[in-house]
Amino acid sequence: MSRWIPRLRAGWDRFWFAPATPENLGFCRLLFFAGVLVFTRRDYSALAGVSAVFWKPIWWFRLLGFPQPSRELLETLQVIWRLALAASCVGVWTRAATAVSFFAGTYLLGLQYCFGGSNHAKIIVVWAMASLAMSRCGDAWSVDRWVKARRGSPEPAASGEYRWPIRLVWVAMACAFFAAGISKLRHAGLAWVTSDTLAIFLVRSNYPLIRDANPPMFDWGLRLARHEWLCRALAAGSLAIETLFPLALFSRRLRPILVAGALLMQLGITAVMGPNFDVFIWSYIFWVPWDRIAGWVRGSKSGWPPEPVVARGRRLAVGRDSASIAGD
Amino acid sequence: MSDPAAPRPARREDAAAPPDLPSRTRRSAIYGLLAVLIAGSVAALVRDDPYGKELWPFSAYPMYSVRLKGWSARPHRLFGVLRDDPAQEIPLVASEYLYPIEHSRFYIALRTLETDRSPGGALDAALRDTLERYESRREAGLHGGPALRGVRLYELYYRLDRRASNRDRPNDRRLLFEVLSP
Repeated sequence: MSRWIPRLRAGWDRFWFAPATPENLGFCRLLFFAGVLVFTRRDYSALAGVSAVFWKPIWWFRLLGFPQPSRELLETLQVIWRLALAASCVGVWTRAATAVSFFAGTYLLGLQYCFGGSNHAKIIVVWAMASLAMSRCGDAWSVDRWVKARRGSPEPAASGEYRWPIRLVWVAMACAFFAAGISKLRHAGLAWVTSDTLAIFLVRSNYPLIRDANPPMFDWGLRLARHEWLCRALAAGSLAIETLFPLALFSRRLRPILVAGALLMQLGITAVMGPNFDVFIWSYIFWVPWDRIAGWVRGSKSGWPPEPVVARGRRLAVGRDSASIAGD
Repeated sequence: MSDPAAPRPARREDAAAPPDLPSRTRRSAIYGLLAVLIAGSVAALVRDDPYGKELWPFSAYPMYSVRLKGWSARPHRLFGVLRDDPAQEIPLVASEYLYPIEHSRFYIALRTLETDRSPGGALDAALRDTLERYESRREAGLHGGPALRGVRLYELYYRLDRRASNRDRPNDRRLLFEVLSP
């Protein structure tokens, strides 16, 4: 037991703070905020004109005593938010811009759910914005970095500061999928797989006056629903991916399978059932090793072959369990 | 000339490398954010609030989690009564007709207001507001729908068909409430 605690602690520290280059986080920041700019474009000020009879504030609006806002306030706030998103994307005053993006964005996104319902796809935006706002995501792929480089500031060294923000988004996604899987098991049990439930959902999606979401992109759901075994196999696969998704945090082998499976599942749901996961799907960018891809695109993996650890002329002694430089 | 003693930036990520721990204060802030995320997610999971009443931005993600037992459905849907021909109705499900409340959220909100169907009550006020917003947006040219005289809320009944051949014709419908402008 006493051996396990230090190992677990070391594994925990490595998971969050193993050194990483700033490139990955910086590129994720750039892509993520560009996506948020695109996927959240709408006129939030129109919500000020909705009758107060619809006003059912969510818990933290009630807690903080936020009233239904005026049109002027929302018009101002959404301009500030969009400017902050754009600045966060290109990396101008990144620290301040990402903080404003988080606070203004959480308010505006939350405001929509004060008029009924909620949206699961946008939850990941809040956590990713919070994570980036607390991070040093402007240390690469940013105007801030470009300005510092011109002033002669050295390139930031690899640091644990560039790993944890991405890992936090991973955890937020794992929470979402795991909860979705547990919810199905709790409300329907294994009958969610062994019954006609998925087939019925697929058919309902093709009834314009029944479905609760956007129209599906294709009517393939009707074809799938005719094959009982196929629907049950898809239901079993979805349930397995959702409940097992947290393993993607720890297992390098399972990670590509679970992440690609979840992505395909959500794309499939959008195609045949209609719900729009836009910005959630966009958030898969945090799972992509952009620095390695950049290396491949440049024709060689970045920093490969690695710098020699042993200076020329010195001898490396290799023992059974260790290696050392002669003379050290 | 660069200083050979200066630390060289690592060019490759190495998850197996020894961790580079931030300061204790910094770690506390990071773990604090993580704790809020985990604690909120666990609370949402335990509470298991129904869709639309969640602790946003936490949720138990109950989407599609119910077990559907029958091949039938009874949705409540709003129809617009045409001003030029009150015998004609159009379904109000398109986002541009219900703007700025999205379709799914609009019907969840309406469902909670349906308990008060008295004239001048919550449902009456909500439907009048929906009609006014539809008309003002139509007059502003923000959608191409026809002019409406009123709205009617129906409970529709569908026997589901695997080919959705009756997708535009409910098997039955029942008027729940209506609002007509003078």
